[in-house]
Amino acid sequence: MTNRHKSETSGDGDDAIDPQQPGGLSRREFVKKGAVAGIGAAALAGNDRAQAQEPEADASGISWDYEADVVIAGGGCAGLTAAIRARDLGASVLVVDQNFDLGGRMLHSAARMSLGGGDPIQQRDIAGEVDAEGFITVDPLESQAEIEDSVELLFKDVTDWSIVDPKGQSPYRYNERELARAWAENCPATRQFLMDNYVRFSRVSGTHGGGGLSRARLATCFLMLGDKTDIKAGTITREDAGVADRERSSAFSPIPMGNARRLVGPNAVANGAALSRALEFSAREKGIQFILHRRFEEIIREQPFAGRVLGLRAQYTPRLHPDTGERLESLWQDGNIEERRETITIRARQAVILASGGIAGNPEVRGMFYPAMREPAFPTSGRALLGPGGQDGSALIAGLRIGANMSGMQQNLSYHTTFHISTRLGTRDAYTGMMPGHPTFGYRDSSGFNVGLAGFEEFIAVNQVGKRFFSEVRLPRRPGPSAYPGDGGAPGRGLDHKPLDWRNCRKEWVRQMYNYDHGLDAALAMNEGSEAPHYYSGPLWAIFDQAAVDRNGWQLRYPFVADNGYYFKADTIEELAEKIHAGNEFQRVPLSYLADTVATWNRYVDDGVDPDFERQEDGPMNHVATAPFYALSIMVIWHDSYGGLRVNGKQQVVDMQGQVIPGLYAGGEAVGGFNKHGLGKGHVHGFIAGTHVVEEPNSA
Amino acid sequence: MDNLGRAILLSVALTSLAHAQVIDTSASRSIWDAVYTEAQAARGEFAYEGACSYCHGYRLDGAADDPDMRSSPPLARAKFLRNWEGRSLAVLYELTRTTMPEDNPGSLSEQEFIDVIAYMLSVSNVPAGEKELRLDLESLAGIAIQQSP
Repeated sequence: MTNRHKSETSGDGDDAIDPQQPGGLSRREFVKKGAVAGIGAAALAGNDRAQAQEPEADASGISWDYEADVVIAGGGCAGLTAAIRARDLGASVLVVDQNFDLGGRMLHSAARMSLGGGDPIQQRDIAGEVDAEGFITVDPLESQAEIEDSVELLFKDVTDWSIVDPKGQSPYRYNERELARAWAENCPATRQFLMDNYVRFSRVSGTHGGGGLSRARLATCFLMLGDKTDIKAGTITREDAGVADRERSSAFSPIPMGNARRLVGPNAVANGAALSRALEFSAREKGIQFILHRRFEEIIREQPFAGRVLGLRAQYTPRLHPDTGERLESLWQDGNIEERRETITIRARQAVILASGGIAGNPEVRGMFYPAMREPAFPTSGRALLGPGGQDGSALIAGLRIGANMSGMQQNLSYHTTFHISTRLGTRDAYTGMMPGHPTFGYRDSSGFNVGLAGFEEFIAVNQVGKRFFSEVRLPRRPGPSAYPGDGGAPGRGLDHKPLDWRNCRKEWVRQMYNYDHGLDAALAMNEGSEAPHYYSGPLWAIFDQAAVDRNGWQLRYPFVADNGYYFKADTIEELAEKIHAGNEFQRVPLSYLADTVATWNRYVDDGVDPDFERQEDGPMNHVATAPFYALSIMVIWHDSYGGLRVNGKQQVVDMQGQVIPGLYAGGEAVGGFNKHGLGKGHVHGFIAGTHVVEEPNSA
Repeated sequence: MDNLGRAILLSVALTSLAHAQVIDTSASRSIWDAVYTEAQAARGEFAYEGACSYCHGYRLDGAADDPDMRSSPPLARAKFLRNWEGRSLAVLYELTRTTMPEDNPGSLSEQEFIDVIAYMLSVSNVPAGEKELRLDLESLAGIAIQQSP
C-alpha cells in the first residue's frame, strides 16, 4: 500500500481482497456470507454509495445516515482488533475515530505486548524455533522454564491477591475475576490472530506491567529494514522507520523505530508502527470502513436507560494542521468514507463496541482520582498525536448517560506509573520521542530533550512561583513495574516467585522493598501561586546555566527545543523569569521567588549542604551562575487509564443493576477492572468483543 | 534497588570475590592513555545500538529510548566516569558481561562487550589510540577509570 493512494491489491474491484489470506474474504465472498447473515446491500456499499445513501428512519424514529452490523468507536488497539475479528466472522464493520489517522496510542507505543497462557510465541520460543518468515536469527532470550505457561497460571497471576508493588499498592488484587479469566483464556488465540494479520513478534523477553510475575510473556512487534515498505513482505524503508535520520520520523511511524537486533536479529526495527500499521493494512484489505475526523459523543439506546443500543451519534472533529490550517489526511485511504456533515447517526444492526480509550486526557474526569491532576497544564501521553479528543473519557461519559456501571475506578491509583514525571524536558507533549516528519509534530513544535534520571542532578527544579519543592534527583524516579522477572514487589525474582503466597505482602517485607519517591506529589502541591477555586499547582521548570549545558553536551536546538513556550534562555535569572511568565500558556503568576531561589541554591552549593531537601545525599550540586541561563519545562504526564466501564467476560457493558446492556460492548482503556498495562489488555479485549458481537441478533 | 544500586553492589562483590586477583588497585595505566581505537569504538557503537540503547539511550545518557522504560545509569561522560572512578576496566567488563542485557545476560560475544566499552570511552571524550582494548582480564585490570587524565 503506498502513501495516500489506493493500493494495487485492495482497490475497488470485486476480488480486491486476497482470498488466500487467513480469514480474508473477497468482496464477492463477503456479499455471499453477508447475505447469509442478513446484511443488507446498503451496508456493503463502497465509499461513494455509502455517502449517497438516503437517511432511513427505523421503528425508533431515528434517521440513520450510515449503518453496519458492527459499529466501533475508536480505531486503536482494541478497536482495530475487534473490527478485524468481527469482519472475519462475517459482519460488516464501520469504525469511527476522532483522529485523522488510525492506530490511536498503539501507533506511538513500543509494541511490547504481554499475553501468555502458553501462547504461540511462547510455544515457538520453548521449541527453539524461529518465525515462519525466518526473520528471527537470535536464540530465545528466556529459558524454557521461564516461558512454560498455562491459562491457569496466567489467571492466577492476574488475580493474585498477595502482590504489593514498590509503591505499596496492589496491582492484581482488585481485578474483575470474570474479566481476568476471559482475558487469560483468550491470550493464546489473540496472539495467533494478530500473527494471522501481518503482525510479527520478536523473541519473548520478560513481561509488561500487570502481566503477572510468574513467567515471561512479552514479545515485541517488528519489521525488517528493506528497500520498500511492504506490510505483506514485512519490510520497511529506513526513512519510514525513522532510522535514516535520528531527528526525523515519518507519517508511517510518529516515533523513530527502535533497533530490535537483540530481540530479533540484524536489521530488525520495532515499535507500535510495526503493530498498528500491520493491523490497519489487514483491516483495510478486508473491507472494513472508516470515518475519521469524527468523535463519537452519544450512544443511542431504545430508551434512556432501557432496551437495546441502536447506534451512535458522532461529531465532525477535523484535525487541522496548526500552521497551514489544512485538514490532515490518513497515511492510507482505502476504506475511508469522506463525510463532513456536522453530526451523523450510525446504526449498528448487531452491536456497538466502545474502544475509544480512557480518561487520561480529560482533566475533569481524571480529577476524580487525583484532584491536583485537574491542572490542565499537564497532558495525557500522545497529546499531539491524538489531539484534544484523544483519551477524553468519551466512552465513560457516554456510557454513564445510558446507565452503564463503572469498574475499578480506584485502579487508576494502583498502577505504579499511571502518572509520572517525564525525563523528557522542553515540550508539553513529553511522553513520546516524535520527531518532525509526522503530520502532528506541529502540535508539539519540539521533541523535547530527554535527560534521563541522571540529568536531574544538573539543574534546580522550581514550581510556578520559582521555589524549589523536592530533591531534584529523586523527582522523576519511578517504582518498578509489577512484571517478570521481578522488581515488581514480590520477594522471589524470576522462577523463584511464588504466587498467592502471603509472604509476598508480609508487612516486614513491604517495609523493606517499598521504593517510591513522592516527588510527583510535591510537584502537584499547592504553592503561593495557587488560587481558588482549583488551587492549580502550575507549571514546573528546570533552571540551569551554560555550565550545565557544557558539562553534558546538551544540544538545545531544534527539533529538541523551540520557541514554543516550553524553553527559554536569558542573560539574567530575572529576565528568564519574565520570559517564562510572558511565554508559557499555563504560567498564571510571575516566578517571584526565582532569583532568591537561585541565590540561595548557590550558597548551598558553596556550603555543600542543602538543608531544604538534602540534595547532597542524592548527587552532586552545581552552581547556577554562568550566563546565559535556561529554563526547560518539566512535565507531569498522565500515562494511561484503568478505571472505566464495567464489562463482563464477553466485553458486554453491564449496567448499575448488574444487567447487560444489549448491543453494547467495550474494551481497552474504555473499561475498568483490569489493571493490565498497555497493548495486552486492548488487543485481547478487542478479540473477545469481536468474537461475541456477531452472536448478537441482527436487526436488519 | 535500582539498576545503579545493583551495579554498584555487584561491582563491590566482584571486587571482593572471584575476580579479586585481577583487580589491581595500583593499575599502571588509566583510560586516558589511548587504550582503544576508533575502529573498535565504531564496532562497539553497532553492538551498543542493538543491545543497550533500548534502556541506556542512544546518547548513552541513561535516557531510555522507549518511554515505557525506566531510565538507566548513564554509560558515558562525566557521570559515568564519576560513578566508576577508581575501578578498573576489568570490573566494568565483568559486570557488563555477567549482568547485561538484563533480560539475557551474556548474549553478546565477549569481543562485543569489549567493543562496547571502547564506544563508551569514545563518547566520554576519552582519546583513542593505535592499539585496541584487548580481551584480557589482566590487561583490563591494569587500566583504571579516572574522571580526568
